[in-house]
Amino acid sequence: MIKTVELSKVFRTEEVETTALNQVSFEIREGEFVAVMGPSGCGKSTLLNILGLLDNPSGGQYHFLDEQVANYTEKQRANLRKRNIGFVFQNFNLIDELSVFENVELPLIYLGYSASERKQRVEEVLEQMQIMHRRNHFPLQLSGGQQQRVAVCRAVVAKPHIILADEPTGNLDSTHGDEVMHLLEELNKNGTTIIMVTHSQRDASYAQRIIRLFDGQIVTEDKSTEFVLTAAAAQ
Amino acid sequence: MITYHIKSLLRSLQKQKTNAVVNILGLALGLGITLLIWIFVLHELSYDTFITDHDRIYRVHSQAVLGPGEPQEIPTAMFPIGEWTRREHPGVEDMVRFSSYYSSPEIIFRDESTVLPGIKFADENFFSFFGLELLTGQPEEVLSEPASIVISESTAARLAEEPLDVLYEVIHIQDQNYQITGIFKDLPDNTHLEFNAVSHHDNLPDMIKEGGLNFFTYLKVTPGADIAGIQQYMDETLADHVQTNPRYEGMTFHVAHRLMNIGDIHLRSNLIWEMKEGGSWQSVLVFSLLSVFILFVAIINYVNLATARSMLRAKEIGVRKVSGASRGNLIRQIMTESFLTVLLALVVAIVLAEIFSVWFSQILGIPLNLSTLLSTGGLLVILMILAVTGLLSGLYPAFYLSSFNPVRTLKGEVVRGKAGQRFRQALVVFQFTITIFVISSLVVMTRQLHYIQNRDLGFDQEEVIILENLSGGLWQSFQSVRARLESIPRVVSTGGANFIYGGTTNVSLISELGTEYDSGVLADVVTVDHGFLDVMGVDLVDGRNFHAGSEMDVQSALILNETAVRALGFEDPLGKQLDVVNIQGPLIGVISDFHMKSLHQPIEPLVLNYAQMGFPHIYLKAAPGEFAPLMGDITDALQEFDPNYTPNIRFLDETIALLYQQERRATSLLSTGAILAFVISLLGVYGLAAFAAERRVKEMGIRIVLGASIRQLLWKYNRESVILAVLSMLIAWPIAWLAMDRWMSGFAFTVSINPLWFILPGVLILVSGAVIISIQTHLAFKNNPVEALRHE
Repeated sequence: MIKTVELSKVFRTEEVETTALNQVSFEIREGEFVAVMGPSGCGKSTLLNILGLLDNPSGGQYHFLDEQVANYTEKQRANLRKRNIGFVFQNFNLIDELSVFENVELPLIYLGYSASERKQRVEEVLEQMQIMHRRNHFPLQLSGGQQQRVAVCRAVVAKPHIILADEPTGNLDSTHGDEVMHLLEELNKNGTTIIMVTHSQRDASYAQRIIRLFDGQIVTEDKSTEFVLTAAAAQ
Repeated sequence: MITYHIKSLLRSLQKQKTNAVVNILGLALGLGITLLIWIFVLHELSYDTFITDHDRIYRVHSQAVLGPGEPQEIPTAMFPIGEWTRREHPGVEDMVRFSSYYSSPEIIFRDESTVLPGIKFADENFFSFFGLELLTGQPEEVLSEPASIVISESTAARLAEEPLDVLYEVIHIQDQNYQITGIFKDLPDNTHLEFNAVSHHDNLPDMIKEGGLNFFTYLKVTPGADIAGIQQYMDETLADHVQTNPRYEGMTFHVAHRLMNIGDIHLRSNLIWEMKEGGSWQSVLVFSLLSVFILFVAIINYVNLATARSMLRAKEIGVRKVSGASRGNLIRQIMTESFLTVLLALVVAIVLAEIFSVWFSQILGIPLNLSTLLSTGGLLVILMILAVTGLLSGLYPAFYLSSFNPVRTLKGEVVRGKAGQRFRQALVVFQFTITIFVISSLVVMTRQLHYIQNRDLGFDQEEVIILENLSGGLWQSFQSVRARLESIPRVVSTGGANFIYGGTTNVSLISELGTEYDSGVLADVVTVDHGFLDVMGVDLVDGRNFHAGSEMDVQSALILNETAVRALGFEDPLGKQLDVVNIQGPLIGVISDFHMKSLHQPIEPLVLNYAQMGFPHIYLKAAPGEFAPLMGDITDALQEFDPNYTPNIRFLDETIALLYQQERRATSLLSTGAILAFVISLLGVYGLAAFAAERRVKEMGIRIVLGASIRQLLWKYNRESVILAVLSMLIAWPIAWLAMDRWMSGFAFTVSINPLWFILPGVLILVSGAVIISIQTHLAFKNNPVEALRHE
């Protein structure tokens, strides 16, 4: 479903050149639940942004649903993104001026669904995530856990093939964190591919596979918790 | 989708109330004055467009050359020229002419005497030509008999309780009977035509038709007709006529014709003898520009606030992008928001316009009616304003905001583009420049107006009253009327004259008797009696005044002003024999120069001649005191001679003030504009400062922790605005100076420009901006920004 070949990302400012991703190659199959781990600044978020078609790589190939998308324009990426990818963020990123219902409805609007279809889909998801009773509330009236649940609703409402979660439990206490992880697990069981960036070993344990990054390179790709410098060993 | 946008807009307005008020109020003020100005502009442009085929109707103007000098253009033509042209020129389809004869004749109707001003004597197709509406009567027939007269609805209402009852009754005017054959609907306000009654020109004495340029003449041309060709045809035809007609033998008589479209007359003609005071296209242009300026200032506020607040929206934009919004979606959304905000502001603006329309009508001197906006033109203007304002307000924010990188905004990285900031600074400079320009211009115009209204005009205008348009009865017993008026204790002196101050005078060539024609000069010729110079307090610098009752002086004595003496090159003027058209005689006195016309014009050579009776106007000098009882005494005195006469009284100082009405209107409107531009600009500064202070809490906290004092902070945060204000001054000054120099060139007498008039408005902007920013900084400082650091 997803395949990267020697993917690189270099950020340039006037004085400094930073390599965020350095020739990263891996593959993720449909229905997998993959965690991406690594210390701060190792390139996790950069990788997630590229996988989520929010950013283009500086080099290498990125195959998304068998298409080479590394050089897509912003417009092409937006088009592909809205049909196939749902996002969950650490800080929820709900729009404060929109109600729960309207926040969840957002992706359907941009996909051109009719009002009645939107109502049906949104209510279905809210019901499923057990947050229907809050449908007319605004984000600031909800607890962190509830906000993240709404964010998950928004991520799945358009039935994407893949969900990208960036530290989804980072701003939550352990009870609410577990709740969200259960939701993601449920979704995965129902066939949604999930890629999750996390610092938490506990969250990572929900995943079937862990990709560990260090200084922009993949150091290991399994469920082990040990660091094995495979890249170095290969040389 | 649109309801969705409306909902989210209303919620964000509610959430950011200061922002909402500044945005909507700023826009509404700008839009409000724009609407009012455009109602005025539409009114000015609507003149005479109700006339059938107005685009094909032209008035014939004559440029008459009288002696040396520039030809003078007048809005009338010789009687036969219109008819010849209609008959002979294929480009002319129809023609109508009319002339006045009596100014305010006494009439007798149902045995009662009254006056009927504004009678025109016209061709019989008058009503069908202009397509004027008749309440009763057929347009083609009402004037078919010479002794018929058609009167206006309001005249009919004045004559009888049941206006329509007057039909077929007889009006007696100056020894002749006229039968009322029709009643026309009162003319609307937006026409250059003015008359209360129309009869046939067969009633006019032959001399009116035979010589002189006495007839307003209108031609209806065929579609696409060659206007220049018609003018040329008229010039040639008249030249032939003059050459072959013994009547003109030995006379210098040359007339060039010019056709002016009836729709242009109100704004572009403004010649002497117009039926009523015209408008000015310069005013229309200046006012439209002012409205555009103010609207720009308001739009800039919106754009600045929208982009400055972009940080607050960055997250929303990011979320929308990851939820699948394309850039196009976002641009559409932000544009929709801007249009909705403008629409909201427009509603407020219409309310404001309605509230201020009465006051505005007074400023502009025309009735402004908001219902004008419901006409096709009005709706087009509203749509145009909405489109332009919405587009200009939304375009930059839309492209700017939608360009945000969602990855960075969602991480909470502050979006702070250098380009965005520069753009905002440029807009502030533009806004300040306009404001300084408008205020500086206002100061200069006000000073000039003050100067011309307080300049020594060469006579004493205080307590001088003009009794205008005496009736025929009063004309005839003029000296007795004068004596009776002077017997009123408060009346100091009286004098007769044949001109109204500031109005038109006869102009003719004067020269020393026996010299070449070429050595003459053009001078204003005014007939007065011996009391006139006394009433006006004009000094006699040499010689004597006219002797009361001297038949000799009536026949030949002349008085010149100093300018005329200089122009004629007289070293020792007294006793020189002068030749002034129909008077030849000695120069008996020289008076000091005084202004007889507005200060737009220089003092021209003037010649006074003497008459003892037959003056249409009396000038009267009163002792200071209350005027109401004096008016009563004057009315009583005049009615002893003519019981039906209602005096038409004007104060000289008011008459003089009327000469600068256009300028006063412009100044009043400009003050409104200046205040608005100033308020809107400061609203913008306030909005930006409030927002900056809000954002700077953390920065201030760090600075304070590191030891910054409030004074250092104030300077830090004021510096940018001070630099922008100074930059704006440097741009605004030369533009304002040039514009005012141009404006002042319309006056023959001008005040000298004081640099302070330009500096002070700039300083005003600078200081006001600094005060606002300092207050905001101070408030933020008081709230202890160090606290904010703990919550980071």
